[in-house]
Amino acid sequence: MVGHRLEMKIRSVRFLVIPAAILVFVTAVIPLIVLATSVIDKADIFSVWTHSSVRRALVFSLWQALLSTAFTIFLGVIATWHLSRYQFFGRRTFIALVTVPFVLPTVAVGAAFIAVLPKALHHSILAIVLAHIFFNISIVVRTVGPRWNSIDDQLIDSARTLGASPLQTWRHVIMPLGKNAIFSATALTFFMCFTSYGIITILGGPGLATVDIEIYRRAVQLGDLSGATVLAIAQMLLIALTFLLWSRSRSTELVLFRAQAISHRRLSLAPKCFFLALAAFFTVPLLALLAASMRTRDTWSLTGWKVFLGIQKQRGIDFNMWQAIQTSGKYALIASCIALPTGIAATYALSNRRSSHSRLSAFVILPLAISPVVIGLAILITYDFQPFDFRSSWLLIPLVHAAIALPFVMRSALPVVEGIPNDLRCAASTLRAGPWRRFLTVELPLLKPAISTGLAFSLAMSLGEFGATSFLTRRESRTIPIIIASLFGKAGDIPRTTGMAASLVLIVTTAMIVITIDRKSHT
Amino acid sequence: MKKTHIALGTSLAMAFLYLMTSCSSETSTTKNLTLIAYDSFTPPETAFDAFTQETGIKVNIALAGDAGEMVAKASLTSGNPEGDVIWGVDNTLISRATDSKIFASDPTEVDYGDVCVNFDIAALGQTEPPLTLDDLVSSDYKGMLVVENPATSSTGLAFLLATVAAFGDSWPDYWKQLVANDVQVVDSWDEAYYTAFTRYGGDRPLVVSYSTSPPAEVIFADPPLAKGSPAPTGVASETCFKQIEYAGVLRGTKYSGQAQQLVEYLAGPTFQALLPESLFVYPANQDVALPQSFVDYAPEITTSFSIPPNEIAKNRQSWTEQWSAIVLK
Repeated sequence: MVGHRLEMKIRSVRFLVIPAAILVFVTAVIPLIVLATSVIDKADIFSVWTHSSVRRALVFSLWQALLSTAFTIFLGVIATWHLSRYQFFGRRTFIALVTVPFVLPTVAVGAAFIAVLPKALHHSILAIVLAHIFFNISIVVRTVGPRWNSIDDQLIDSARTLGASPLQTWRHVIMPLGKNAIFSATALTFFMCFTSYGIITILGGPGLATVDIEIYRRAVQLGDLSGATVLAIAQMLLIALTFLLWSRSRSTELVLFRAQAISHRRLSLAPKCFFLALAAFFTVPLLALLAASMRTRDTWSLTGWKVFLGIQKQRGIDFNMWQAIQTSGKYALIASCIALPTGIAATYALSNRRSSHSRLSAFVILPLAISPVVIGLAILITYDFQPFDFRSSWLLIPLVHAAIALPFVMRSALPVVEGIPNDLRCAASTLRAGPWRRFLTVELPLLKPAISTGLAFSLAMSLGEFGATSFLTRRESRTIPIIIASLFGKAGDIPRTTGMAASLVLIVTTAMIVITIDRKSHT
Repeated sequence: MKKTHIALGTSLAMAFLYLMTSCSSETSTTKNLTLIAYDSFTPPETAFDAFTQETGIKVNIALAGDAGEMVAKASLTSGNPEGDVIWGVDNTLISRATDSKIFASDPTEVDYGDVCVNFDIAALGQTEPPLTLDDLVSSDYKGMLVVENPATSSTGLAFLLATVAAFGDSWPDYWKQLVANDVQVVDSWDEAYYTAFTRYGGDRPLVVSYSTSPPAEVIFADPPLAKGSPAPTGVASETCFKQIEYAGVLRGTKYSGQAQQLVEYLAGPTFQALLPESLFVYPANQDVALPQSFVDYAPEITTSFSIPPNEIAKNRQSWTEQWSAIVLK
């Protein structure tokens, strides 16, 4: 009888996946189908693969992504373990610091890396791997962290008491508990590296092109929309399939939950050195950026900052910083307001149904898996008829941002949502709390870490997004990344220093948002 | 239970569509025209005030990515355009644009400029700056030049076209010589200029850029240059490819009369006078006087190379692929 009642309750929240499904359909699936039916020339479905540039791009995408992912996960897992289990000075700041690169305009990151790396490493695979670690380590920290955070100390202690060596404890206790989250992070990281665009164009250099770059080249430089769309669809299907298989292969696991489980153990010397090195790895490029914003050849100057802040008028440069900050902020807020409830609701609805969830996560990755050029073009020809001509609607931008942030919200929510013990729900129900009351008073407080991670990710994704925004934007509502790109398009000291200053402001703003959210969610 | 889900889903979708349409309907009055431009279209914010005062029409600027992305968008929406007027289709792309019939009538030439090899005067020191394409393969300039990849950069494409125009069918041989002379290739203009060029910390004193980069260097110099001192960079004036940009009324606009007025304004003296110091191009309108910075610092390019647009469109892919095979190996 009771079992039957609970079964009903779980069923009754499944409709919560609908908003996520609508979002993905509206921003990706429908537009892509429309584009495919109108531009694909059937012959291209086979012939596009015969171009040597396409094959080269496929091979390169794959192997550089494998390499980058391996290193990112390795370093990320070590960092995450210590960040989630030990309390040490600068821990929170560090977590925020690793999230920041996510929003960086690639031109600025490229410039920073080029400034820091020795000449011999420019345009090498090593530079690409380093930049990918820099960008993606936060995925590991933020998806695996909450999971390990919730392991009860006693569990580890018992393992040790029963004679397990630290290594054995890792292998048999800690890793199994983080496995699903690590798989998630691996899949996302691999995907981010596989479709990497800006990093590769700047640090990779000519000849090293990913599939996304080849898609851009076909669509824009060669005018071969049909071939580009075939490639875009193939890449999308490949990524969705990978996600599907990946999530399927995981087994269900033991669920333990304990909030605020951070112990007060101190770090030993080796991890301390590791963190020091990692912190340097993250701060040095940012310091290089700061220096670049104030340095013109052999003198120091604040002109770039003055122009950026609007204190000094500069002939030839015309933008309104406050308007840009407002626009960026507005889009980021709207995108988060859409992505967060949508993503958490979808995760929540399917958290007890692994296979449905894995199918859904393969599905929500779609907007992110399609090259921004193709998505822009697809949206353009889909919503072009009255009364649904929204091509000129500014809402399109935050909507696309929300769709892009959705998989990140869902991935970071999953471990937390799964960590809520079913007993607790049952107990609440036994005490006659209705589904809403149960959600508000029992589950919502426990979801806090998921909400804060999702919010941080969706704000960051939106603040830094360039590809889709540059395609759909209006002059009077340019975002900060768009302004940075237009500054770096002009020759001379002042556009360059102003662009560097703007990049730094974007970084600091994002870092502050992320830190604030983290603080709030822990108090 | 199933039915309520569908009903809920449908009503959510309807509410969403309603929200989207209600936001976009404002552009459909004749009081507003939409001008589509590439993302580096940065005239002063007040550039259209005179037009609005004269005609009562407000101009909204829709940025459409880089010039190539913009033409891809316009071609795809040909006949049912996103805006009324398009700015900045250049001669390497115009043929694709006219083939897909994006214009309502012949487009108007609005500005031009040259892509040329620039040199860093301080970094060259005692070395005589290059003047011609042939100079660039001389051992005096070994390891000095950085160019952009024509497959990913419009500047790079323009320079490739200059060599095709200059050497005809033997252009691949010229590039083999450049490779032997240790030419560096990067993917974009901003990377070539801001990371490889000596002026910004790189090690290449020669870079493929624009003939108007020297006046930009002067205007944006920090600290400002002393009065009367020469520009810090110069142009190899016989290495140039001429880029011409066009604007035109898009086929399918409901307001073709007013759109035509806007094109006339874009080609008229008020707007054209703003071009040199905001977009760093030359006004197409010959009646417009050049600003002092251009008179003093922009070298006059008398012999620039050019190739007819339809030739470019026809051979673009094979040229860039041939180029990649020689240079990127």
